[in-house]
Amino acid sequence: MTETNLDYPYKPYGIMNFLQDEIEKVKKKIPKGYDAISQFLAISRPIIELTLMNCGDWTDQIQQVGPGKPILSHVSLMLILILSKMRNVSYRQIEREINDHPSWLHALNLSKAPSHAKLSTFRKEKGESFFKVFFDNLTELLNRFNLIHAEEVIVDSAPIIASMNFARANSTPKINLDHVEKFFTCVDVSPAVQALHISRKQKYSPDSFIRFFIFEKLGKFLSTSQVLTYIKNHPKIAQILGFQDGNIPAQATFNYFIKLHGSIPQILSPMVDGVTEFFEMCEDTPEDTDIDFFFRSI
Amino acid sequence: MRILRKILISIFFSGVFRERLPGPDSDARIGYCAAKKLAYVGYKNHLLCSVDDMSILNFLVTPANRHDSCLFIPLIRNMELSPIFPAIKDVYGDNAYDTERNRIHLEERGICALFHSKDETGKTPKKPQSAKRKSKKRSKIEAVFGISQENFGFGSVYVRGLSNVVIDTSIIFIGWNLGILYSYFVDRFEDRISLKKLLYKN
Repeated sequence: MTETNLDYPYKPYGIMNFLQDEIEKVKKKIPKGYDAISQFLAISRPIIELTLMNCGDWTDQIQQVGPGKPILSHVSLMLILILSKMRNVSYRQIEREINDHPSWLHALNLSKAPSHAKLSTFRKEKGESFFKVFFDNLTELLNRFNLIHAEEVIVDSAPIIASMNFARANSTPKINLDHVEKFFTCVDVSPAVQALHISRKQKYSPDSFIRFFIFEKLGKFLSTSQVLTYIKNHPKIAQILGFQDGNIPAQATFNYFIKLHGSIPQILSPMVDGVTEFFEMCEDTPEDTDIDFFFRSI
Repeated sequence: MRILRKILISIFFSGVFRERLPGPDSDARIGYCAAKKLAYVGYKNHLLCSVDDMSILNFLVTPANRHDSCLFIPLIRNMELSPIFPAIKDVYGDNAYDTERNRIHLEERGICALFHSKDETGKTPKKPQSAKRKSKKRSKIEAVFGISQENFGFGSVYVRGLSNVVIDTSIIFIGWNLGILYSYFVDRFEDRISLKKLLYKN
């Protein structure tokens, strides 16, 4: 058996050397017209590529064979996500900005910026754990280059204010009063009342309850409490529904009614024929899918 | 047509097509930031960063109603497998972290817990010298929060749900650490936390 003498380099060639060499190659190739951001994107590319490979994402290393839409580079997508944070702009804005800067597109190896939807999809597909692993790998890379001196560390917390649009969340629905009036004068709720088998006299008429539930469902309110607030503020609607003199039951009364007589779809099932007839008879009835907007003016 | 309409109305009664308006974030909770004297709805980011180079070592995002002291051990435990962990010698933090459980956890791992004690807190601390010494080190993290707020929009989010907020925060800190690495490769390490100098000046 003959011994082969391989000519190994004297210094072991590790990840650090590889990354340094790659970055030097990129630095040499950087065109003069590149601005600081293009330079950042070009030089960061090998770093992101290596970290992605460490995270198990080899998409950029796979060469596409055959026809089909080319795979969008994950390195470019990651760089765009980071850039959008660094510039503190939305994905829609970063898409526009990248398309406006040919040197950025060149640095990202793209001919056109990916759509904001693609960026969101990429985030969603990769998930929380991927980004955490990516962060850990990048931090480890920093440590390999001896850039972290962790003898003394600090721990603290900071608030992150949630994205909430209370104005939109609490927006009141706009109900078309004429349509409501027309609907409840034409539609007879007695089939549903008869199906309830109520023998005792009630404080509130069961007709009003049925009307209330129809109004809640067809008006597309978010909750019973939202309907209650609405009819308290609109006495005319309360009158149409059968709650005279502003005497509106509490939410608990409605809950008890449902508990006694079954779920709302069950209670309202005898009404389907009557409501269908109404929408068929009515001249200005919107077609099929627009039924939910019947009560709404917008 | 009639059958179709019947089916549609039945479905509407069942409430399946209930319109989903953008409601409040279901994962966000009410929290209180003592430093800003601010009660807010959202999340809390627990951060571990190095004093010398201000690089971010680890972070955790939780709903805002979680107390700082409870999250310290998970934050440290996540790092235990990392090659950076053995280098840690001292941990600084405010008096919220100063619990027996946290101290024991650090002592077992041979790390010195230099949290602010009750005597070192307040406008007129009983031990002003040590309070000043610790505050000097601890103030570095405030710079991290401040700069990341200014440069990366840290502190508020446009996404909903804990998972999305974690992704958003991860991208911010990836950007932060990438900035440090980039500054090293372009021989401008002194500008590592200044995006203005790194990205907007050739």
